[in-house]
Amino acid sequence: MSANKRTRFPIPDSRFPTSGEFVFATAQYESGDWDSAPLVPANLIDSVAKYTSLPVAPTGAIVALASDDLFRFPLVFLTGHLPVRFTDAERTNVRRFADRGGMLFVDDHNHDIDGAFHKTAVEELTRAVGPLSRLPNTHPIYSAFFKFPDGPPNTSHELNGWGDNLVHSHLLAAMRGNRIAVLYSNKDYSSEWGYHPDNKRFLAIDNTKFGVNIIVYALTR
Amino acid sequence: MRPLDRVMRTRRALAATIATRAALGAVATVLLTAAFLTAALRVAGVATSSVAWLVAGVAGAVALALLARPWARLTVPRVALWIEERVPALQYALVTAVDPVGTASAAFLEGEIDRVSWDREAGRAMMRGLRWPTLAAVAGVAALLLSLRVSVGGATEHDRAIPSVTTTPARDVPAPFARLVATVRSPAYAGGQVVRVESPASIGTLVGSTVVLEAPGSGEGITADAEDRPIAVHRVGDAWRTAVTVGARPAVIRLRHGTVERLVALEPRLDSVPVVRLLFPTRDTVVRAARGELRLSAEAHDDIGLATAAFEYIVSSGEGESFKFKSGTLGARRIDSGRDATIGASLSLDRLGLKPGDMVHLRAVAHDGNNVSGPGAGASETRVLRVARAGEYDSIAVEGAPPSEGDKSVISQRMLIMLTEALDKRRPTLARKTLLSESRQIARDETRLRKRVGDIIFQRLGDNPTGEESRNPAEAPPSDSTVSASDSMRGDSIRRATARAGRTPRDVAVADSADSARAALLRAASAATGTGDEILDFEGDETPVIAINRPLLEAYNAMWEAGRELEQGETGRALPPMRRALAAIQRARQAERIYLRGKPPAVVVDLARVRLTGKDHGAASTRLPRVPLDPAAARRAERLAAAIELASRNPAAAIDSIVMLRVESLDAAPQLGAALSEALAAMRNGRDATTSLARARRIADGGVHGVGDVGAWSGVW
Amino acid sequence: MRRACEHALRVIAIAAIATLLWRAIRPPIAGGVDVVHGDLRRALVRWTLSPATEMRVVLDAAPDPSTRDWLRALARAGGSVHWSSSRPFAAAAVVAEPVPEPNGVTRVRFASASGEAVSVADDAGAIDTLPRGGARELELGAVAGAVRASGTTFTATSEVRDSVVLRPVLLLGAAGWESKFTIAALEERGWRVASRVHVAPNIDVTQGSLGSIDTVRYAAVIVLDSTAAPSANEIARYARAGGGVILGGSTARSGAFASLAPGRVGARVAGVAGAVSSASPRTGLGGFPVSSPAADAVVLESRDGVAMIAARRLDAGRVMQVGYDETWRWRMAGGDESAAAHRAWWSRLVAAVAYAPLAPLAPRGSGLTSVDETPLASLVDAVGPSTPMEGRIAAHTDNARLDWMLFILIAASLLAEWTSRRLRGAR
Repeated sequence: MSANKRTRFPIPDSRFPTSGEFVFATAQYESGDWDSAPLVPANLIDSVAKYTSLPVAPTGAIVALASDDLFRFPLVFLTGHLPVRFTDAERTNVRRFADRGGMLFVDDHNHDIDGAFHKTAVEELTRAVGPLSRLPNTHPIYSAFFKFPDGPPNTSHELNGWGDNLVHSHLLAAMRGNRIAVLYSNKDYSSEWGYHPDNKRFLAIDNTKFGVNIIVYALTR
Repeated sequence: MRPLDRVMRTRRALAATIATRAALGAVATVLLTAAFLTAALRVAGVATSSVAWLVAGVAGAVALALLARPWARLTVPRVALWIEERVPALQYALVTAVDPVGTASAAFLEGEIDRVSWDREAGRAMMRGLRWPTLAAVAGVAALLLSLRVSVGGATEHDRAIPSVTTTPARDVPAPFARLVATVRSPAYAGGQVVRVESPASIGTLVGSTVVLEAPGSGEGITADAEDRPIAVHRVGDAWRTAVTVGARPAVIRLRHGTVERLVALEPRLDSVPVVRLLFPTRDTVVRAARGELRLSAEAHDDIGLATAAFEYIVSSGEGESFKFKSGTLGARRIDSGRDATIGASLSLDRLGLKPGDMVHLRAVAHDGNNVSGPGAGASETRVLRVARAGEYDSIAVEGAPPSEGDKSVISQRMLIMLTEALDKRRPTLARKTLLSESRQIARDETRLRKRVGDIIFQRLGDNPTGEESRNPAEAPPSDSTVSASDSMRGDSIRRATARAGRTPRDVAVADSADSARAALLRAASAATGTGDEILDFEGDETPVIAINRPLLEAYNAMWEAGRELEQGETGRALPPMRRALAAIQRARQAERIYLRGKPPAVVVDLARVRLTGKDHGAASTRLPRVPLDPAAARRAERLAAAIELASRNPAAAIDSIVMLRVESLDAAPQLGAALSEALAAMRNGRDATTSLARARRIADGGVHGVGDVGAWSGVW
Repeated sequence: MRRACEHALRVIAIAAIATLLWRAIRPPIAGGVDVVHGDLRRALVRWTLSPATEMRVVLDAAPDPSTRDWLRALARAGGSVHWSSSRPFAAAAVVAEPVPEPNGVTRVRFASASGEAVSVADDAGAIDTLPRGGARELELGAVAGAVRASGTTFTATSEVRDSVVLRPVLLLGAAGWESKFTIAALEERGWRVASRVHVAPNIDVTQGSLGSIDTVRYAAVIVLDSTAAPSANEIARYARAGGGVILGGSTARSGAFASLAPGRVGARVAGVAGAVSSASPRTGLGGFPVSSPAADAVVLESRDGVAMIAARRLDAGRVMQVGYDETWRWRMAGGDESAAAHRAWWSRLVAAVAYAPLAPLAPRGSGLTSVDETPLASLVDAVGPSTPMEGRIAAHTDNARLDWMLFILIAASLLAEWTSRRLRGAR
């Protein structure tokens, strides 16, 4: 346990005293179970700290898509099982967010390509940001930190036949110029990474390394 | 001076007056006619037209001829008579004196006439004659200036289906294309409107419209292309014809005959998607039991015409990682191209078979009739109807949403206020014990509610039970009735001391942690809502995270205050903070619709422990540069500069260059495109385009980036 | 009364004709003094062929460069050339020069004496105006042709005669939002950027050609944090050799950077909540103020009396200290134009320090330029300062404008007289 530290903070609007710190933000949206993967943030923060020297906040943040606070976190994670229906405010914010340089990482927690989350999320993201198209498996995100020569790593849920019983070979993305504005996954990384970081010691291979790639890509591209 | 000489002098002055009057009248006629026609044409969408001035000139010539007619009637007797009318003192002596027949008493008459001067009256009469023509001329100038300020009618929403075409003067069109005619037909779904215009310069119409260009002649040697793709030219009778379908991007049709070239710009208008608004239900709803019918109502609007509209629903069942979905539509309706429509339906909740935990997502969707690039689909906002689970405690009611019929078991802040008000009314008739008992029951509910708000605001850290949030909401909160002092910040210390008495160290530590957590929450709420001067100060491993929502902090503070008063049976003093809390919750819900669905567990990573302990290592990588935002901007500026230079040598070629540049700018640089439109309109109509070209050039060059004082360091600071 | 007026108009016309006649036939001033007022062309030709003992010009406005050069030549040929002005001349100047930014940005600086209005325009039209004189600096996308600063008594002209040779910018820092969005802003603005962004020990994300830090390679170096400390000495040498260096955030606190910086690094200040979307967005940003600026430092931006950006010249180079360390918030959370404003601001910072040698542009047209950046100063340089005329000479000045005014007076008088006569019916 770390030493007992008194941490003093300024007024509530400046919540994060270290401006250079990366804060992992989870999107809170109206229509679905946005909080269905509460352990993913801590797990990825743990991985970022394990493998890089990036300053990172020890806990994640939750930010409403319709709120102006969204623009304080240029990388936001969105997941859920239930249908995704953006309100007008959420849609406008997501569009502005993408236009200004933000990156939204969306993962279908259902792992169900014909399911309600996939259909509705793709529709809403297309309306807000633009069409999602297949991301080539040679894209720089797959070599941003760790090397994934075969593209996105498969998840145990895919391999176990959960959901649609498919292994999805590609991720989808909406681009702004030559950078990813929305990264969309059907591979259920929310389940794959949804465990307490202390349990990593039981794994032979750290399955969160691709998450590190996503974060490093967002911070450097 | 003899009478005749005087009359001749007056006659000359009258002639000058008639001439001036005729001139002023003609000028006024020309100006007023031109002003009227210019305004009418501009409203109709034609920026300038020489026809207006031609018609005005003809009208002016007619007015001049009519107004100058009296000149021919200016004989000496008539002038003398005119003078006599204005100077009765002459008593017809003047008319007699100038009579060519002569009279014996001429000398006498001359003497009488010499005594009378008519210069003043004549002068006044002539000035009066000039008054109205002068005013009319001034009015004409003003009318013309006003007419030039009339906006050129563009496509309004109602006219989006009708193509608009600007023309170029025939004199500027090279010979093989001099009688070029454009026939533009909008797509069938938009009504198939047809517009036929001679000498087209640019055509604005919906994507999918067909444009046919034809002119007399055999068409031999004429080629056509659009965006470097050739288009076939056919001979039809004694004319030639080429046709193209308007795509989604601006383009230029280039017609060539030898070295002669003619350009026609195509400006596509995009069909907007329908706008749909869900009228009922108005808000999300949480119900205990899903029974009955839910009324649905929506309205839709489209710029061209609607085709279908319906309600869509998705039912989500399940929890954890396992969900099932079913979806459907209802209330579907075909709309016969109307721009506006209203749809209604009724959703039977019984038929959906909803169970606790299920959610129904509802929205209205409308499609337009665009069968070219669509159909365009518009959707309303989504409303969610959720069936609460049995053990769940959703205590924040949706404002305005009616609870299901007969369900009075949902406790909300509003309900708590009502209960407290009722208790306060009965207070004089109740025994103290009864009052306390009921008041504390409300306090317990208020505490539960406050905990939910606290869950949203703060996440507690670590593994230790952290005060309020660690308790099962169904448990009774700690009884504070044994604390004699008010439950203020000081009260916390006293309660701590009292609570410590007789407890094990671990119990004390747990209680201390809970108390300090509660105190910390209060301090945070106070600090955030300006009721305390302290900054947030946390000890130990705690680190505050996530959004501190000011309205919820206010609610938390107010709920705490209300709970304190209710614990002591002070129902009257509890009501104001309860109402403040309700208002704050309503503000928070409007700002961020929050589902108080349970607290996600908080895990704090010990960064110092894990930093760089990973077994694997990443690898260096390279980054690809971003592309400049508008790499073509500099090239556009160069092309415009070249076109401006060309304008003095070859205006027709310059116009063509600017047409091409304008079409390319419509997407990438719309401000430049608009400025070039103005310049083209001036150039085509032979007007001075210097100002509009200068403005376009300034826009193309990037404009003024910054203005500042000359300082010790170069740059605008 | 009317006839009296008509007679008066006839008298005025005849008097004006007589004056014109007298001015045409009067003898020149004795003593070899030739005074010319207004149009100098004929006089210059005359003086060139047969110079007077004293050649004096009375000017309404500063003459154009060719006239001025002619006067200079006459003076240098041994003639006595003097000038005075019929009304006070204003000192004015204008200069147009390229800014080291991509896409051809031009800086125009113009000034005129206090109280003297000046307008600046180019071939594309009016640019700016100072109604009461003073000095101003503008940055434009580009200028069309020559830039002219005009007032009632002067027209100063300048042209961009050089282009800048722009090299890439090197950015060094840790991976994070500030480095990401700073690189993005510069690239989107058109800069070429080389970068080394630190992710983990011995793991960097790099871009572009990363060789030694030299003015041959880079126009400027941006250091965002202390991860570039190992290159501090190399960067210091680069700055002294003419390079431009920007030290962001608290970089200037460490080691060799401290000796370059224009000031010390103060305690971090927070931004004003919500101000990032206001009209003064940078007040919403946190950062490290420039405290105790060096004697030669120039404070470029301050906030609440505290310097946030300062710069200084260091031998042949320039170093700027930018206290803000989270400018990315401006781009993300600012108003509608915040992304464009963020780009422009970063581009301007780099341009203010960049090493950008000039390359002469090919001359336009005939090769002769009409550049006249400081008309009055150039006139004084050519023929000396203004010298007032003696009274008898002043009375005998040649004045073509007076001739024109007399002619107009004659025409107007005669026309008015004839119109009045005809309108009252007389012949």
